[in-house]
Amino acid sequence: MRFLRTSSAALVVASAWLSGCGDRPDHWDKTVELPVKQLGLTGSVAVVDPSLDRVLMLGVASGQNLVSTPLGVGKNIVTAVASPDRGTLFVLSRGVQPRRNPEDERPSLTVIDGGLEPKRLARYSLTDPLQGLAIDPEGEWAVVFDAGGIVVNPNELILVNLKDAKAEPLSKTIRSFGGRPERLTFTSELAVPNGAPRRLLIVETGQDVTLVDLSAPTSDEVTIPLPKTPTGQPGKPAQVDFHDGDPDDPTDARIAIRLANDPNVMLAELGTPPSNEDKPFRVTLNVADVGGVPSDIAFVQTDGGLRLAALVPSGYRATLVDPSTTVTETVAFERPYSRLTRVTDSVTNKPIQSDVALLWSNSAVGVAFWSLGKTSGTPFRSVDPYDIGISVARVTNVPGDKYAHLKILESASAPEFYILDLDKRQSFPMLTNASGFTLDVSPDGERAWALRPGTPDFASITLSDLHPTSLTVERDVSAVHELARRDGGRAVLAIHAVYRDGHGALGATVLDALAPDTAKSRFYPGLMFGGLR
Amino acid sequence: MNALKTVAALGVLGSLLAPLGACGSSDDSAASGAPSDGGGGGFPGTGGSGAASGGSTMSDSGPPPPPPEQEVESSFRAPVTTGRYVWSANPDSGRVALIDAVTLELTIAEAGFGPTYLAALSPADDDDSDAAIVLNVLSHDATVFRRKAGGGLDTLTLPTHQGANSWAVSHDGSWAIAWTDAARIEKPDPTDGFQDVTVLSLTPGKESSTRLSVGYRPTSVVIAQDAKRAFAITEPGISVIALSAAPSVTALFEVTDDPLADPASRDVSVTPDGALALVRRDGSSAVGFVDLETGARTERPLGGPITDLDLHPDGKIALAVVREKSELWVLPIPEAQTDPSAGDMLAIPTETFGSVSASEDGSTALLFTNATPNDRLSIVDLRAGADYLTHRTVSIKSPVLAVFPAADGQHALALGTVPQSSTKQGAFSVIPTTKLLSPKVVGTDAPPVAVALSPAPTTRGLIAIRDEQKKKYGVYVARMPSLQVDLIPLASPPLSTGMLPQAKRGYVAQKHPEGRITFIDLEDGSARTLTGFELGAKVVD
Amino acid sequence: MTPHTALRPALALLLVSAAAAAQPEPEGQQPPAVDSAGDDAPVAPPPAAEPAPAAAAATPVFGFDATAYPPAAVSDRGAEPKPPREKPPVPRWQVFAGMRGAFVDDGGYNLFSERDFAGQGSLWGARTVYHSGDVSIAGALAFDASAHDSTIRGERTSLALYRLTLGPEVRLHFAPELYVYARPSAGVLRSVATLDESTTGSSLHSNGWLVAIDAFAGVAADVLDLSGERGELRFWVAAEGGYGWTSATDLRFLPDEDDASAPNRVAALDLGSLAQRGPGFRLAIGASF
Repeated sequence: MRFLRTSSAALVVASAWLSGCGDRPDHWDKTVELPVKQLGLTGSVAVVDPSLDRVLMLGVASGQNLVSTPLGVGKNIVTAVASPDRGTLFVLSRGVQPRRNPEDERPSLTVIDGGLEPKRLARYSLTDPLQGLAIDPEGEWAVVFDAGGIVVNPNELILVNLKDAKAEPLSKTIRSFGGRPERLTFTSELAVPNGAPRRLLIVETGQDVTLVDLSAPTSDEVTIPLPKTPTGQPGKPAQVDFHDGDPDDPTDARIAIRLANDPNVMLAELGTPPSNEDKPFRVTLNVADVGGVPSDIAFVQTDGGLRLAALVPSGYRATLVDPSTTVTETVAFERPYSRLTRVTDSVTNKPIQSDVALLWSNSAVGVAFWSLGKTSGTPFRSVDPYDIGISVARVTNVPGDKYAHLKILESASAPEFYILDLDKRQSFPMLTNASGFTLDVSPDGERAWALRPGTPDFASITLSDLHPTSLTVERDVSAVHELARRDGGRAVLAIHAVYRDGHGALGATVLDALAPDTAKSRFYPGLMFGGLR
Repeated sequence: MNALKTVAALGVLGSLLAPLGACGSSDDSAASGAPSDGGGGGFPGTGGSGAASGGSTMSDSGPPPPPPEQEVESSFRAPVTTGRYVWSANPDSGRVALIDAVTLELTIAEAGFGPTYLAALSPADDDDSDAAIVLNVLSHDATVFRRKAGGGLDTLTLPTHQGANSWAVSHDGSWAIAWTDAARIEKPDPTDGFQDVTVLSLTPGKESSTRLSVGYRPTSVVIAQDAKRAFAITEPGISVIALSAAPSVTALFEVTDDPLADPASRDVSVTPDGALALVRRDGSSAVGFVDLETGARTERPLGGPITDLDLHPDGKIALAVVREKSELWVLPIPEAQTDPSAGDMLAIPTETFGSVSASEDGSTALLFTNATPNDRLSIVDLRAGADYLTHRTVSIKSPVLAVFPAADGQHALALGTVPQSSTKQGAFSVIPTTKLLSPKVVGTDAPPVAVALSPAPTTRGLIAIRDEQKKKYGVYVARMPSLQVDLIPLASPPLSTGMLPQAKRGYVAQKHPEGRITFIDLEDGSARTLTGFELGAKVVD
Repeated sequence: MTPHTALRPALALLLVSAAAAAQPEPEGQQPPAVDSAGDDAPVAPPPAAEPAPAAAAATPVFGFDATAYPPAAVSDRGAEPKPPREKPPVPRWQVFAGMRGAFVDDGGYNLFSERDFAGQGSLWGARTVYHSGDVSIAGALAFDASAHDSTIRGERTSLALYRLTLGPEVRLHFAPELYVYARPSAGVLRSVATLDESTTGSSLHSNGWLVAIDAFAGVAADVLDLSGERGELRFWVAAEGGYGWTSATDLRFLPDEDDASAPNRVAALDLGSLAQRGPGFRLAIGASF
């Protein structure tokens, strides 16, 4: 009997224990945090899944058949950036921090092909956990910066040569006088007095600007101090621009620096170095007062030569600075334009010697064409305003050559946007039923997609005839991405992001991009479960 | 008497009056806060200080006498030049910048507290030595800078007296005297005599600083060419300073019979050899001579009250103008001191002139007046020969303000005020003086404020204009003998202009918190501006 | 509280009850022997039943009416008492209720449970159809049911499993109170899986029929015999272990066709497959009669 008692007690304990053993993989317990970052690439839509240290590459095989390809990246994703041509995705990961064991994963940069067959192209192991990522528009370099660890060197840059998957990332600590890198700009090739033309990396910190020679990244960088503001505060860079100058003159390449809250702009000329120094150039600085705090700068070719144009919206004008003499010339505007976009290369009949710029502002109605070939002597004739009835918050370019002469002008508040034809100087209003639309252009430059996020409504605009097709799907849309289909067609993914009960979920509606029809769409739920077993 | 004191032009006049024609080189060093001609190695007797002459001799009958001739005011802190380098002081940062005019390479050196008044130390004929000295007004000392062969600057600091604001530098750069010009002090107290001077010996290895006291309120200090004596022109007279291992004030020579007479009514010029001082007094018809060895005074009477007395840089000729009689007297020095018949007189009764300005080579004198609006200017040939004292008169179409002869005497630049009927703000003329050609008259949108001429043979002139209200700034480049004039706009108010003949550049120093200077290639007229001297030097590569 | 989590205390209670029921009876209270079931089993003839005087009526037990039992025959003095009734060697009918536990290392099951253990309620019955010596064979029909729920990446899931198997139970009796057995069986398993998916706003379902095969062996013990004149009533405790196997079913979630709130043309959400395979055990209490 005692045996029975004992056996009974054992049964109770065993059952209780048995009911608690065995675990399932922990990926099922990782919830989805919104917002989910998505990046539209040429052949895929990348959905970043930080909880599971992976990226889901959504593609469309044929028809409306969605294919999800999960690709693991490094642990603890910090950021993901697409290349400017949207063909490649770069994912920066911190790795396991702090590392306690030899097998703890190091920080890394993963490069993923964003085409029709997404795959990992390369993975570069890094030494330090950094948070910022800058991608070279020409696809040669990626620079990781902006440290975020416990004890860090904020002025360390990791340069990754994207042309060589096997190349070791190069660590470079730039000179610091108290600032830390905030913004990186890659120049095109600039001629220098002593040596072959080369590209520079312009690093803006909180108080100076550094030039890194990308043809010899290990050589000493050039640090350019900034003047104090008129109020005595340390100067802070707000924007940079560069120009190679006269193609036949290797001594006149220049970099312009707009300073925050300062009516001065700086010009750094890459001039001839002293004969006893084996350096490619020596920086000569100049400061020009443009008569007010500028909102935007750009090098432009005028009929008087190369100038630095600085928009001063507070003065309803632009100031053209001769970079050689810092002599300024003022061009008055009727409106306080605050942004400038060179559109010379976008017009079909390009001016031979001088630029054409589009002027616009978020706080002024209308745009203007600025013909910089008419500034000398008759600057008042160089500006051609167009009253389009909206203030422009953003100007979107159309990729490719076919419709490069079109620009899409978005307003921050008005329920309409415009498609501007630079060749014919015509603007076409596109009315929407409410404000808050976002616009995106397809990678092939044939269509624009307008979406009001958080609603099920979006529209396709064919740029060839500006024909809109309105679409309403069955769930609210957070983003619309057009991509190439593996069968040669094109598809559009309307992403649905839902937040409920403390977690997020992602779904998508797939439609044909060329002939979008919601009656032939297909809904894909549970995208974040893709690849999980 | 008018309140305008004679002040040697800095970059305006001193660059023209400095010896050896590096127009704007060592003279501009003196221009940095000091009487440019005098401080830069030139002699104040040449031209600039000759103005501000009085003319008020008649008291009760006839029309009221015309006001005295005026001198163009010069500016502070203008840069000085040595060879191809420009020196610029920044009182706020305590640094001095050395700028290579050709390469725009910058060298920055630390000075004392509040470096303000610069002077060049290099002899004008020494192209290899670049040295300058700056007065640090807040730390009451001076910093000497010498450029090293491999680049960089050697510095040395010597104490000075408090309040110094002017320099006198010897021709060879071995002595510099810091003194206080009361004309630069706003509302000085009558008891402020500004009698302190500091004599700095700058011979390398033997630098020293000696404080001395001279007469009340010196108006200029000059150092004899042999650098053995210096002379401080003060109210009671000329204080003689012996420059030796132990400098000292050795004598005070009175320059008039009434030393208590208003000193503002007289001008004193000292010959380069330091033998004689010439004295002109308002209303006096005589030129006074003071023997600077013995203190003996003599006088040479002329035809009437002398309104201007111009001692040639070589000290051999003095030009005196008697406005009342429209007479120009050419006096040989030192003969005119003792021989009452020595010298020549030219009367041009059809013209009215009270001022004279002579070319550096002594070949040409220009007669004009700025006491009354008068657009006429008489050109007198001073060359020995058949054309000696021949003259002609030209009109520059605007009342003459100042005249700057070229070093070679073949041209002159004349600044004019604007007639009432004109819409312009200023005017200048480029005047051929030897050839019978009409002047080139140019109206300007802003008043001219600075002039520089290249040394002989003079082919370029720079005329800077400035209108702060209308924000119009620029520099005209005048070409001679073609008389072509081009305007280069400037981004900020010009302060001074000068020439760097060794670099074949001219420059215009401008007002900018970060420092700005525009270099003009004298051959092709192109301009390059450098802004932010200290910024540029902070670039680390 | 989900059904699954409620199952554990219920199972624990069941086991505790079984353990309590396994307590031995105090000495001396031997229940009268009850004729066991099994008409075809040779049994000892029962003692002759004579009507008992009313004053010597039997004590009611378990609600049985004492009058249902013939009173013990009271003969004149000197008659021999009747021998106690013997237990039948094999139970005739048995029903058991308990729990089944299985260790399921299946990816599909992970969607519905954080653990690899699947507990089910179990109910089976058996009827002895053959008895020879110490061996008997019974036909057994078992029904297991369970409900599981969990969340996957925050989305709620639930799974209901219903298993019905049939098979022979071969027993080896060591004593009338104790036997060991083996029970292979086969049947079907019905799975009903549900996913509350947020983007559709609907419940997506994936149901399937699976072939189920079990092979278990165990031991049963008679812990309480309340048999009486009316028949056998014995209480048993059984414990068995074995292996259960099912085929696999795809987990392809779709909304119901008549779910008007779901979007049109929803693509199936494929989350792999589900199979219930793995060792298991049962614990139960039962009764035979």
